[in-house]
Amino acid sequence: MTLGEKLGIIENIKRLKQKGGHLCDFVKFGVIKTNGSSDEIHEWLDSFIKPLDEEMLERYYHDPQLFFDFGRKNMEIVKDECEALIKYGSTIFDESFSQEERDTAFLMVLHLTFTITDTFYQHDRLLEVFSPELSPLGKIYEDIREIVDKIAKLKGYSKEWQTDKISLLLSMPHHLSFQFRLLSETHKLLEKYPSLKDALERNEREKALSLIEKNSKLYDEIRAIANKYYLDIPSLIEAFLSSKITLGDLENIKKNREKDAKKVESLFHEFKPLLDIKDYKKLKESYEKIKFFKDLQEFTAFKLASPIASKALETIISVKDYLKMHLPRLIKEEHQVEINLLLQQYESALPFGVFYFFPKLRQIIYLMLKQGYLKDEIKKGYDEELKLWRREIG
Amino acid sequence: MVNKNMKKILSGIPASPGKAEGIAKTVFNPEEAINEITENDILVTPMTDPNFVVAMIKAKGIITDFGGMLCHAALVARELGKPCIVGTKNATKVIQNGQKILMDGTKGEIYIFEEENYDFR
Repeated sequence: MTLGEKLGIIENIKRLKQKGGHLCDFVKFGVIKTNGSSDEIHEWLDSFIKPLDEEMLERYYHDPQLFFDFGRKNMEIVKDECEALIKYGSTIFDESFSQEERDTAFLMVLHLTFTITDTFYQHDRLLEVFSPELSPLGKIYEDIREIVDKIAKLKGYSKEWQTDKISLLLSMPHHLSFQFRLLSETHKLLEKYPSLKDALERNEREKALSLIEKNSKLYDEIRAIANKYYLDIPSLIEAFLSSKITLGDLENIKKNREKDAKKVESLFHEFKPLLDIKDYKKLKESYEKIKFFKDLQEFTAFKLASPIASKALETIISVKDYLKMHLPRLIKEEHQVEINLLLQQYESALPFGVFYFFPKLRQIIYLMLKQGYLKDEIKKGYDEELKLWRREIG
Repeated sequence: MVNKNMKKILSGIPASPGKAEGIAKTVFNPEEAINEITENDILVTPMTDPNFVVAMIKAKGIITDFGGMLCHAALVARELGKPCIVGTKNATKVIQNGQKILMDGTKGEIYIFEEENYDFR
């Protein structure tokens, strides 16, 4: 029996298979260049992402809802992978497991860490990349830019005017943010159920969940909101509690958005007589298309801020202690100094957050699992575990 | 208004228009942000997530190390009508905590007030 079978992870693997999840193979595809990050971060965060082929790029460009669904599915896969990672992680420091099993668990956590980040970056990088040859968002952005450029030339408007108008269109004021829509609907519902409102105001999660469970009408209403935002009820409650945004805040935000929505409407009004029907239609369609990217960005951020993702992150951070403690036993002698140095860099980046320490962690994982820095005898259980995973999900 | 006593120290992607002048608060997690950000502050952080929103509501402006035009910080800042500059690469390292800064979210530029003689890294 492998460690995974012992921990009941086989169910997680089957679920992942159904959702199309896969284990990463550490194949490098090249760095996606953007303005947002340093080269080293690119190297270790997203150079493993397979670029979209032309057919998918076209499909997502014409139907961004599909891209939203793709990203949402990826985040569901990430959730299942996090669950498996947490299960493996629970054994790493548990001395009732053999040293070999604990090594296996440690290496599987590393492999899953790499896999999870790759799964996430599959859509996340494309939300940030505006290059039309790489991303559906880029193609849509280019359509908007070209049309606004035409107007600017025609009317002799400045570059600044152009940037300002593109920024206004990209902000999609007709489409209120995912988080604010969700909170607004939840706040409205709470007005009808004062005891639930009271429990949430006092931060009583369990009581809130039990009140929902006991009242079928309330349950149906809150489930309908959760479903609409692709969440389950506990995640919706968590999102509500962690946001701490009041109804007053939400009203102010809505007013702001209404003002900007009016600006967009007058912009369309100004553009209409200046554009041919085809361009005008394209601009309106592009404006509508952006909302799927906006929603996916926030949905992704929500999922990453969820308790399960935070627990997985804690596990990921804690494995460094295992590596530190067992470094001479795990790593080939000739690579120990290098890994030790990278480990120090990783630790010093920890206080600055995931964007700073993940690249270093991914570099360590790559060297250990792909470049042969691990001692051969250490990999035995891990190789068996990988066979089990690959047999199921490839 | 930018004047001769100000020095441009950093630029990034202009993500939400408008200018803001305030005290830079460099924070690395939502708890820190919620506890430390006040109405006079400009939030400086590697990247935001939904748990930062309360702090973003309070702050005068938002500056991040990472992200692009459609990152979480950019989306929410535009929603809140606050200036935002993203993708500066190293704002959390270059801008010192407590430093008085001016940010221009339309141009993506960040200035400090020179007479205060800050020691830049």
